[in-house]
Amino acid sequence: MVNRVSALEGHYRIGSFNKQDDNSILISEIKNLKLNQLSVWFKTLENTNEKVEEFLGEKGCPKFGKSITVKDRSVFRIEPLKFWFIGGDMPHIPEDQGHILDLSHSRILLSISGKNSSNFLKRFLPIDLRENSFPINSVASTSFHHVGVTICRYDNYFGLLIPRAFALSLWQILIESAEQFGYEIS
Amino acid sequence: MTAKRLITGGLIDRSKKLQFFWDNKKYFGYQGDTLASALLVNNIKIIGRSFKYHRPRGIMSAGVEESGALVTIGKNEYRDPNVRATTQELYDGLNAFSQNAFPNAKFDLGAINNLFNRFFAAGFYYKTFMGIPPFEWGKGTKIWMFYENFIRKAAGMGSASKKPDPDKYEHMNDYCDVIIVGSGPAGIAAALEAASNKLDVILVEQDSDLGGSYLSEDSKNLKNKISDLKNAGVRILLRTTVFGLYDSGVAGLLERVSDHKAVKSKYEPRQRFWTVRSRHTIVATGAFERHIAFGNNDLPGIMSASSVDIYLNRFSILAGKKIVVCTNNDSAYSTAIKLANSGAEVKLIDARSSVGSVLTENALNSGVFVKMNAAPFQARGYTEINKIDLAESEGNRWNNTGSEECDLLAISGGWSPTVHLLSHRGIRPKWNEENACFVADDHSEPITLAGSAAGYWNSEDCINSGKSAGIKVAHLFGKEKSSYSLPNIGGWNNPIKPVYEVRVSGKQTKSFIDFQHDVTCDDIRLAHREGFVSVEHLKRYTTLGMANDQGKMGNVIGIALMAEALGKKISEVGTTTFRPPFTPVSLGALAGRNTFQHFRALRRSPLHDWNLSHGAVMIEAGLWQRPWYFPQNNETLSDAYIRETATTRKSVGICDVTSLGKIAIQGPDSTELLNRIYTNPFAKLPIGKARYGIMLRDDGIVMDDGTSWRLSENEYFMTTSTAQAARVIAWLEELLQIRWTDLKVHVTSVSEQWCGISVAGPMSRECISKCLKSPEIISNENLPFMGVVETNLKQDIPCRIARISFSGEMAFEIYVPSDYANEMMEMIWIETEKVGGCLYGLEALGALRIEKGHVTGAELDGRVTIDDAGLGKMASTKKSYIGSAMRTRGVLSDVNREQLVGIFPKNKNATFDAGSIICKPSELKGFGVGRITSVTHSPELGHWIGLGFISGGYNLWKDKTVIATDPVRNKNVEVEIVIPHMFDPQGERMHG
Repeated sequence: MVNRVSALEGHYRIGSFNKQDDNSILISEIKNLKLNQLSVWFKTLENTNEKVEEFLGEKGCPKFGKSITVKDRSVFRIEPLKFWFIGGDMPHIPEDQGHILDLSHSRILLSISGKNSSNFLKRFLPIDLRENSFPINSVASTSFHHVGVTICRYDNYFGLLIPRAFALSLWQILIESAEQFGYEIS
Repeated sequence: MTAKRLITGGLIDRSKKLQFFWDNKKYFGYQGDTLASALLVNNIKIIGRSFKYHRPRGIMSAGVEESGALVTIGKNEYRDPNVRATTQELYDGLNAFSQNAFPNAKFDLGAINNLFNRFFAAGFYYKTFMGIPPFEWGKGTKIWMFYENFIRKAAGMGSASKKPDPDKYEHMNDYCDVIIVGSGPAGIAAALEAASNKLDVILVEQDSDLGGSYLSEDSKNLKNKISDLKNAGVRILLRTTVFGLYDSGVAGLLERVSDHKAVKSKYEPRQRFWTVRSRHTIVATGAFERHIAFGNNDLPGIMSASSVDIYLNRFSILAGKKIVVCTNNDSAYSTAIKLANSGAEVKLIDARSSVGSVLTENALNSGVFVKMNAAPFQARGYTEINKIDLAESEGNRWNNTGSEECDLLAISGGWSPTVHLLSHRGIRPKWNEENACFVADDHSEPITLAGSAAGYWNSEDCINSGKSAGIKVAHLFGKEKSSYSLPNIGGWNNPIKPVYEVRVSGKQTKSFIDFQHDVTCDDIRLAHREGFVSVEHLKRYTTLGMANDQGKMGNVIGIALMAEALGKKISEVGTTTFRPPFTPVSLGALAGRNTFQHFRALRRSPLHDWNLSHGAVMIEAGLWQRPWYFPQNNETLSDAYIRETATTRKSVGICDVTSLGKIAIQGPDSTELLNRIYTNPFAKLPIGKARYGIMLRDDGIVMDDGTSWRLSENEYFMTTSTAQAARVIAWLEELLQIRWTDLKVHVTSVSEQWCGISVAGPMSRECISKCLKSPEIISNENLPFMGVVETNLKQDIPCRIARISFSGEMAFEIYVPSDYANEMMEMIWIETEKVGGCLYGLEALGALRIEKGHVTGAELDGRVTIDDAGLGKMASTKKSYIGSAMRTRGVLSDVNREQLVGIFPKNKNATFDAGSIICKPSELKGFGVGRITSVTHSPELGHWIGLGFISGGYNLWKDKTVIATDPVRNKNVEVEIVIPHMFDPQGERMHG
């Protein structure tokens, strides 16, 4: 099987730049993203709990605008009836309960961390990232340079999903803005 | 004016001496100085020349209202004109220049304008548009076209660099519970109160230090308060101006990140434009001190009394030796006392006939000479003041009453609360007679004014009002139960005497109201005489309040004079509307990082770099870039696309079609959805088949065309045109969420998930089959025309293949998941090259489809019906669909509507342009009988062809000659009308 080529290929330079210890931003791309969308119906919503549990290995189903993360797998609820399963293979779902759609190539996923990560993201995202308003496991659709993106707050980092075709353009803006903090790409 | 730095005191850092340059000469100041304070202490009196009359101007204030000391900072591409010297922090190496003067501000040739000032009164320029009598009275502008050049060159203040801005800027977003504008006594009190109630507070201060009026008073107390703010978790933004308030609690802020730095970081932005969204705004922006209009009140050496106070206390500068303080209110008394205590000879002239004895006694005890019932009438001096003529009041008249020598005149004509931000929200201020100022009117905005911005004049009331504002906001958010009360506005011990202009009968003087635009009292009276009496007309006719300071210094005086001329009260005249920005905002800050390559996000196909590396010349298609053509050996565009078109028809061509919209449609009612939105039937489309479909708008006009592929019982893959992709999916969502909520369908954009190419031409099947794991899967039997299959390329690359043709050749569209795009393309390109095929771009794609008469957005332009486009047979008569009813209404069924046709030139060597109008030969005018929408050279036919629309269609015009006329390029070409399917009309090649 051929290797996947990221949208940032040729532009993703690992290393540190103007690094200032505490202030630096840490950015990395989660390569070979596995992202599947599950769309269900109101009447079949209850069955989703089982599928989420099967995927994560833990009970629970995220509310709208929330996520659940266990190790390297997450389930985002991006719409009332749409879930994104990230990080693993989908469990089987009968068609009368819902539809799976592979979106693994449609986006890139960046992890952004560091003491200043929230301050850094405020330069692009017009949503309230204060901890009280956007606590851990929050998910939101917002815009970055007029492009629709999805942001999630994990335990100690932010995950930013950017549409593949816009990835390089937005990556360049991110890196330019990160220069003032110093950054490390891993 | 003879200024000197006192030995001690102030907030400057005497251990840090700074060097700066003014008009290329070296001077010194200290850390903590502004450029204005540094110029003042170096006794630079003339800072620039005024706008119209080129009169010498000096420093008039210490803040953002400054109207005299407008300078240029920096050189070359860093040149920044019209900067207020009063707000520019001094830094080592700063370069500053005077403006609007030649050869320099001290000696300016432009001062000759002042000799002709009677010809440059308000409105003079508009009057010149009517022509100069007697040469062209009332009818000409020829002479104006000549001298307008000179007026333009003479107009304006500083000049900007024409080089690209080398600085970076950025945007920022933030949220809070309360944003507090201004960090004076009221702002700090409000911030501490709000924060003590656990509210998230952002305190914004336009100065370099917190404190506002505390900076010229109680610095020890201030240090404690700043510490309290930090301990309370208040977020502080310094050097940041709230320049506008907008809907829903949105504030626009401009942060000056590095304008004060001698050494700027390469990576730091120069300025930052913030959008802050808060639940409530507390405006504690203080008040501006007004001047008084009297003769030559613009001479250098005349300043506001409060600014003289600030220069003394904050910057430790005694700005004069012989100082006259003229006032009509209590506030200037403390200034006079401080000046006298610092060693100046001070005379205080009060326009009121009497005040409480405490006030005058304190002044007298400090050695201040006090004179009542007098006001300034005319300043004397050529380039700076040396004497002030006074007048005493007798009823409504002023009579000349002697003069006083001085080197500095400090004026206090009253105070105007800074209500601008509230005005941005459409709340007009109301006139308060007792305090002779405009104050905020009642309103329902989430905004509270505090301190002097609300009309409080003494410190204690300011602090209490700030505290009350903090409690009020805490109440609003359910956090605080204790009550609060507001003091009455005002707070002087003695009432103010409104004095706006001092005029002595029989004496002609030039008294300025708006210093930046050289607007005088006579200009206001002229406007009144000429009928411009509404305050809105007054503003536009005289340009009062339209400059950099936006009327901060002069608006109230202008309104008062207009009220007097009209015989009305000020409250009846009212004000114009203050609009953002409160102070100028650089265009760079508004643009942020959205410049050059980041002006818009670039949307790249997964094959973007691959295309470029294979010689593509790109063209914009919305936010996408698509290959336009692939020139070889220095080919021109024409050479290239003709070759690409011919090669594709002869062998094979590959085109990147990734930009087409792609939508996944899933759910048991998917078929029903498609059947309702397409004009043609989809109910019986078999699995493994694709169908071309047309969507209409509700009004019956064609919205878009595309294909839908049935992948399974309940899943479709829809393609749309590039331009309509976003519109179509939004449309589908609207239909499902609002009209057809009973349909169980999910739609999701998969435009990013899939990379698509079109492989077209007689050799297409051969090329593709060599790349497939199972080559037979695309044989003619297994994959007939409009068939769809999901399979794998070699190396197990999953793909979807549809046998679809837009070019009219046998063709296939191949889609692979985007990350495999390069691998796929390499595979297919190798095989294509072997058979002499080529890559083709949008231009060749256009030529191919025009030859076939296939419509695109050029034809489906929002005015065209399905019948106009010649596709009426696709409109089912057996079902309802969006637009089915409206498409049959009268105007859309008229037989004379313009219908799709092909166009040939009569002379086969001629060409014509898209956009040409088709006219009858004898009637080359108006809208003609049709229009040409697309043109190309046809390699197959060997001549120029076009597609377009003509009234009545082909049957009405066949064998007739018409003219393609292009009035813009002055080109008329004889053409004939043919059927639109100009090549292979039976479609034999694509079914091959």
